[in-house]
Amino acid sequence: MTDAAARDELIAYLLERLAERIGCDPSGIDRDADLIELGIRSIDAVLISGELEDRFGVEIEPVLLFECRTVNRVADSVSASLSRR
Amino acid sequence: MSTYYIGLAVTGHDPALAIVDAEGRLLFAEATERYLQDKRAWGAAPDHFDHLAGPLSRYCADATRFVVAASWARVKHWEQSPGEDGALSADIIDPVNAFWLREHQRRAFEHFGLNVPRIAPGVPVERRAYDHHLCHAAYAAASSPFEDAHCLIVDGEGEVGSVSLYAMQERRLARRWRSWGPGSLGYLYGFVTGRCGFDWRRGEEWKVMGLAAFGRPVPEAVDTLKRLVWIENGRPRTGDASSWQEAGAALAPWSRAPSDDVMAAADLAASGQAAHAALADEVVGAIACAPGDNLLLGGGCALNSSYNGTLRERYSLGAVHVPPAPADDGNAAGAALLAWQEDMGGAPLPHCPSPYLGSEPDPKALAGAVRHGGFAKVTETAGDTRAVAELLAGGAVIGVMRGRAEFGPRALGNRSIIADPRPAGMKDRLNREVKGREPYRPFAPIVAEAEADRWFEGAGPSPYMSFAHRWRPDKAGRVPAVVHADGTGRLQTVSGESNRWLCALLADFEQASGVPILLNTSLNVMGKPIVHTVEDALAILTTTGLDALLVDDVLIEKKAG
Repeated sequence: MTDAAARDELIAYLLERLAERIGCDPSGIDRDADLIELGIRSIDAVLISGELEDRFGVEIEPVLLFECRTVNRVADSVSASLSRR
Repeated sequence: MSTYYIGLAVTGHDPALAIVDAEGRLLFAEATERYLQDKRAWGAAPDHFDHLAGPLSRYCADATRFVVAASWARVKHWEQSPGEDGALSADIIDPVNAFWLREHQRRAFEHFGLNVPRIAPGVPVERRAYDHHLCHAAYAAASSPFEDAHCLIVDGEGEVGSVSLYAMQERRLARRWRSWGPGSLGYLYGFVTGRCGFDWRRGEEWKVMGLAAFGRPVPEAVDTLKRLVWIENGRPRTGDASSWQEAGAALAPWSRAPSDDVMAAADLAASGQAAHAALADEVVGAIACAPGDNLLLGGGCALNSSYNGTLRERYSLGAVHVPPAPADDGNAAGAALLAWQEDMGGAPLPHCPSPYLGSEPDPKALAGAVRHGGFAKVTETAGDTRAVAELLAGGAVIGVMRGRAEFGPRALGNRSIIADPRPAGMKDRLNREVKGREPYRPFAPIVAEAEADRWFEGAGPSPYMSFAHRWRPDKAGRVPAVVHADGTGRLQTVSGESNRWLCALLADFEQASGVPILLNTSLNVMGKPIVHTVEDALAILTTTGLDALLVDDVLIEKKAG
C-alpha cells in the first residue's frame, strides 16, 4: 500500500471511531478541528489509541492524540510510524 | 572494567532493587519492605541509600559503569484536556486514592537512581526506563526454563492498560498486543477486597483468595462483577465511575464492614474469585494456545494460585510458569535484565531460576545472640537435618533463617516457619500463638517434586508456591494442617537443585513421622514483612509461641527439652 493510501485508510478509520464516540456522522468531523473541542474525553482518546494499535499493528504513544490534537496530525504521525516499519 | 545493571521497581508501592552483571547473571534482588520492615513500603525509594549500599559494595566492587533501569517507561499521569486526570484509573478509583497512587508513582519515577552516584562516587550512571508490562514479562521469561512460550501479563494497570500478551521465542520477547483503558482484573479484585472489608493498600487480596474457600459464589454477585468488567477479544473493559458505584450498592447484601466477622464476607470472596476466574479464562482464551504450548504468567494477578493451579489441565498446556516475584517488586529484576539485554544487542534472556537472591543473616548478630541471648539450648547442626526433623515430629514450631532470602512474597524455606502438618490443631496454634492472624488463613505444604503427584491431583513443579492443587482424597486426612477448606493446598515442590537442605529435611521428617510433607509459612507476624535481620527473627522467637529458630546452621531453642 502506498503511504497516501495508508493515510487515507487511517483517516477513514479514525473518523469512524471518533464519530462513534461523539455520536455524530463521520463526514461531519472537521479533520483540522481540535479533538477536545469535538468532545473527545481522555477515556475516548485512550480507547481509540488502543483500537489504532490493534488495527494497524503499530505502537501508539499514550499521549499521541493529545499532542497531535487533530485528525490530520494524528494520521500524519501514525502513517510516519507505519512507513518506518 | 565492568558494567552493572541496577533495576528499580518504581511503582510507588512494593519498591525493590535488583543487580545484574555484564554476563547477565542476576546477582541480587530484594524488596525494600524487607530492609525497612514496612509492609509494601509505600513511598520508599527503591534505591534506599543503606539498602542499596550493601549489595553495591559486595557485588559491584569493580564497577566502572552503572545502568539504572526503572520499571515504568513514564509517569502514569499525563496532561490531557483541562480538568481531566490522565491516569487510567481516574475514572474508576475515588479521587483521593487516585491522587495518592499517582503521586507515589510519579515521585518514585522522577527520582529513580538518585542515590546511586552518591553511593558510588565517580562511576558514570546512565538512567533508562522500560515498559511496565515488559518488565513483568522479562522476569517471568528469565526465571522460566522455557525457550518458547506465550507470556501473559495481567495486573492493575501498566502505561496504557492492564493486559499485555508477548510471544517468547528463543528467550526473546515480542509484544503481540496490549489492552488500553481502565478495564482491569487487578482493580476488580482490589474492589472486591474493599467490599470484603479488607484493605488493598496492605495487599489484602490474599485474604479474599483464602476466604473464598469458605463461601459459595452468589450468581447475582458474580453477574454484577462481570457486568462491571468484561472482556472483548482478551482486552478488559469497564464502565465509568457511576457503574462502580452502582456495583458497590448492588453488592451491599454480601459486603462486610472491617469490624464485622470475617466469615460475613465469605460468599462475596467466593463470588469475586469466581468472577476473576471466569474473566481470566476469557483473557487466556484469546491467546489461542495450542495443546502442549508453554504459558508464562506475570503481573499481580499471577499471584492468584487458586486460579493458576487449574490452567495447565484445562487448557492442555505443556507447562505453566509463574516467577517467584510476579508482582511489581519482581519488575526490579525485569528492568535490570532488559537493560542488560539492550546492551547485548537483544541477546536471549539469561536463565535465572533461583529465588534465593536476597540478603544473608549477619554472622556477628548471630554470634551476639548465642553469647548474650540467654537461650536454653544452642546447637551447631553443621547442616545436619535430623535434629530439626525430630524436633518437628515432636511438635515443635521452628523458624528457619538460612542463607539468602527469597525474592518475592513467598517464603520458600529460607525465611520460613515450619511445622508438622499432621496435627489437626497445628493450624489454629500457628495462627493464634505465632502469626497472630485470622483463624481461617490456610498454610502451605512443602513436598519433594518427585512425591507431588502421589499427594496432589494434577500437580506439576511448583517451586515458588504459585499453584494450588487438590489433595488426593486418600491423602488429605494425613496432613490436615495444610489442607484448605476447599480441599486444596498451595504447594511448594523442592528438588535437589533448588534447595538441598530442604530435601534432606523432608527425607528425615518422613523417617521420623511417616509423611514427606512439611507445613511452611513465612517467617513474619501479621502485618509485618518477612524478617530481614537476625534481630527481626529473634524478636519473633522471643515474643511468640515459636519454639526454636535455626539461623544458618545454629539451632536456638527456648526450652532445654
